[in-house]
Amino acid sequence: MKHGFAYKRMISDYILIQAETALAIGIIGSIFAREQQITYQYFFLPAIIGLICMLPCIITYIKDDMTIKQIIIQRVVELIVLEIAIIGVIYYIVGDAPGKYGYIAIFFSVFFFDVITYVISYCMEKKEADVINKKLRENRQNHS
Amino acid sequence: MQLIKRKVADKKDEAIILQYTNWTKNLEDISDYILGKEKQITGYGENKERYQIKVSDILYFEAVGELVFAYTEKQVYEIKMRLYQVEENTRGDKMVRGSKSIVVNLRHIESVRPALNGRLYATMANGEEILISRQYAKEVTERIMAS
Repeated sequence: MKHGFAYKRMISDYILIQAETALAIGIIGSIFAREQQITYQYFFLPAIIGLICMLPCIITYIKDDMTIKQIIIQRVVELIVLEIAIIGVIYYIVGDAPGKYGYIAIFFSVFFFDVITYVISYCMEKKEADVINKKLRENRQNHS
Repeated sequence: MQLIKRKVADKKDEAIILQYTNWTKNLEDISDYILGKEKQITGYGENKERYQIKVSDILYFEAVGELVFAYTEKQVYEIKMRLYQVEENTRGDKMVRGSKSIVVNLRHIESVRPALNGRLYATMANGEEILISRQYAKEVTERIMAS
């Protein structure tokens, strides 16, 4: 199982994206299209969106030695795909209901939450690295 | 430091006691010597000359294609083993898998910084940076914190 760890992570992230998409559809739908009747086909949307959003990320699961520059490029592509997928799906479900400014607001909120997720994730990794560095310093002092 | 030798009557009372205020590198070397832990590994230089290298002097091992190299602060040696064999042979010597292609010596990690996606860049004693992959970052972190 050379890529076992990567597949496990990929499947767990895919399930997470599906759950988030279902929640987003529920919230946006209840705000902008409260009276909209939906059919069974809408239940497949989270699975399809999840798949679309996972496509640009597959490389990050398989290739673990990407440089920071490559990761940033991959994340920009991922954000563009995410914006297109979310706006496309909202348009498919509620059409023009949110209006031009509604869609601009959705665009910026997706952008904001995507970026903030990475900033929080980086801060957590930095905090963990600081704890490790503190321990490494202590070890050096004890051994000198 | 004073050296105290004390004769005991019974063989089972034979022991070496190290008394210290701070556990130094010298004491660790003495301890390793007493316990016979100072492992060596055979490496080959640029002109295929053979060397015995102390495992504790090795910063990290790296697999490049079919070859495995050992990096010390100033030299690089080719090791005639697979990386998994190196990992097995050096287990317990502060060596830990850092990625699919690297086994790193925790003693020689100077500092770490985030490399995004849950990975870490480890700065080694010679200033080189090596990438600890997400898969192994947790184990490396745990081993450092437990040391």
